[in-house]
Amino acid sequence: MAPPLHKSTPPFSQKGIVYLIDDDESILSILGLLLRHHDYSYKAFTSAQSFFDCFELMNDRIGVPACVLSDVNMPNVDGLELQRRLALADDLPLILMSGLCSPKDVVEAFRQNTFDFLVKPFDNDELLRVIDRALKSNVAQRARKSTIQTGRLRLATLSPREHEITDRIKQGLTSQQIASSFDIALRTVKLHRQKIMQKLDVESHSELMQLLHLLEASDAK
Amino acid sequence: MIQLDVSTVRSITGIQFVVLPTLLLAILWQQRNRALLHWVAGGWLFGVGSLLLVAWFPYAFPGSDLIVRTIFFSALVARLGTISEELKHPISSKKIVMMLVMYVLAHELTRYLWATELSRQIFTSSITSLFSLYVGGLAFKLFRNERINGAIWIGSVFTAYGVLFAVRVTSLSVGAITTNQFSPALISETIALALVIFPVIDNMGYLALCLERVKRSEVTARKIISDQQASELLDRQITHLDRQRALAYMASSIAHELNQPLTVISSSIQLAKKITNSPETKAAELEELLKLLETNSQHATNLVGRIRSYIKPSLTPHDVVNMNQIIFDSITLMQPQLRSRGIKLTFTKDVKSLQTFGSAIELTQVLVNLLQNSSDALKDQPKREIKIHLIDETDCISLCIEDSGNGFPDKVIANFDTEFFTTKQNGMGLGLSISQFIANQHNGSLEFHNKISGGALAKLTLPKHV
Repeated sequence: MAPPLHKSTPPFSQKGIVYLIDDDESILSILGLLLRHHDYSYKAFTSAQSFFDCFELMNDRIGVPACVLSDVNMPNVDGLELQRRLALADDLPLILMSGLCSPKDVVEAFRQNTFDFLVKPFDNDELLRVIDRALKSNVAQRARKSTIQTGRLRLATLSPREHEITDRIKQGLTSQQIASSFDIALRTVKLHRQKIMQKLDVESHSELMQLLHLLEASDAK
Repeated sequence: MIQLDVSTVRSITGIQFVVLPTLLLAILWQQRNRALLHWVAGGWLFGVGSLLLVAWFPYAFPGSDLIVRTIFFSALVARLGTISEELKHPISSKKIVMMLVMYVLAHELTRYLWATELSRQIFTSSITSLFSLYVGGLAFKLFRNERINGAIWIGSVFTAYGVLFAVRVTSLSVGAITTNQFSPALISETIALALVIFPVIDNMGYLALCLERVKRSEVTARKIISDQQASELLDRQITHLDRQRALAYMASSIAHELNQPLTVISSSIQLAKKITNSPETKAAELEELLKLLETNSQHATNLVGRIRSYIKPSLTPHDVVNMNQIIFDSITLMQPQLRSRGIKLTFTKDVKSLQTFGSAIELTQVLVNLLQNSSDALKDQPKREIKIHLIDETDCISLCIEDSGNGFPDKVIANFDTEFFTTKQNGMGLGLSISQFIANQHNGSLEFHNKISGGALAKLTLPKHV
């Protein structure tokens, strides 16, 4: 059975790609027209399930900003369920739209990190603004992700001693304090420090601290 | 100290016992019951007995003693009747008669066995003492059961009375007094005084008891009424909420269904504006938008049509319909409710069998609907009557339903064909508008009037089928 991929444009737009999910084909049509008119790429799906079925196969999203725009009330997998699965699969920003929703739905959506919530019928400009923000957030998210990835790789190149010293630096200890805690010379600490900054490719102490905390935060996740 | 001789004391007591119960009866006339009547009768018997004793003592003629004593005993029995009635354990009339007969027999037996006035006096006084103590005890029991203060007064009087006669019996037995004296001289004044005030305490005690009873039952009645009102109010609120919920549910599903096409329409128009304003207008895009607009406005229209057909009854097959049959069927359907509400229904039919062309089911629905309206209107009316007339009007048939209610309020008359208008808590307000719709579908009409004599008149006119 061919996946019910609804309609799509070639994914070449530099502005980004929007994955549309709604069980109403008219809605998909008008959203498609709107996005195409404003030079966005899109792929439309009539159910969240068909979106997931194709999602693994799609490689067009690599390097292109992307987000998901989905209806809340749909048979089988609804928007909130979609959000749950999306959070597990990837960090695509999700915009939910709904005609009728209880305040409970909205609260639930935001609790699960939904990017934004739109009420049907919507204002086209408002919708475009939200999509724009979502795509930008996706770009930022990706940058952060790659920083973390390279940071991790670089961190792995540190020697055991350098690791110990890095931990002390992260705790906010001064070189003098580190030297006395390991009972070594201040000069030795400073040398290690220079080496660590080289290996992690950072220019300043504040940059180092920023990277270390980012890595720590992503580890905690 | 005032010197009171026995006959003066007896006269005063006697007069009091005639006057006070009479007053009591007048005051409590509204609340009269068996207990009160027993009480008043007992009082009068005490009074008459005392007065006869004054007139005949020392017993003037043979048998007078028996009469006087039996009267006193009856008075005590009547008191017993009142108290047991108040205790909700009334003694039967048979028992009362038995007691009186036994008393007379026992009294006469003493006459033949001992043949002395002394022995008889000891006997009768003992009986009086025991009976008084018993009545007093019952009165105290009444107080314990219901905390009615009046019962204490009655109990005290009869206990004192019983003790008094016990003293007399003892005094007579030991020969301290003669049969002509009531009590030892020493305490005679006290006793005389007591006898004078006994009737007052006795009767006032009972008056207090009755008034307390009345007050309590008023409080209970008021509580029942307020409970009823509260539950009615709750009922009204619940049905109102239910109706609101049903309407809200309907409205929300309609809103949801309409929202999708409206979203597409609104978005399409916004985009179309933008496209036409931009320097390079793309005809293909506009065409697509127009197609979207068309299908979605059609979708919305279909939806409205569906709602309308959901509200309006669908047409059922039409055939030749016998009006008598319709009326008979409707009456059969409504009969259980009409009977339970005590509504009298009369049907005067035209001799000829009248026919119309239409749907029997729908016409029965109209008639049931009209009967239901009348039935609801009559529910709380004193006179509950519905009359159905079937009239041959040469070119058409008239079916009139009249009721003896208050007629239609002005508010209703102004809103006859307004859908969802209702004055009933459990109605959707569709009854009359559906009925009118059915009548129109049958090329007929449905009119409502208020009769000059009061009551509502619904007139369904239908074409005649020959």
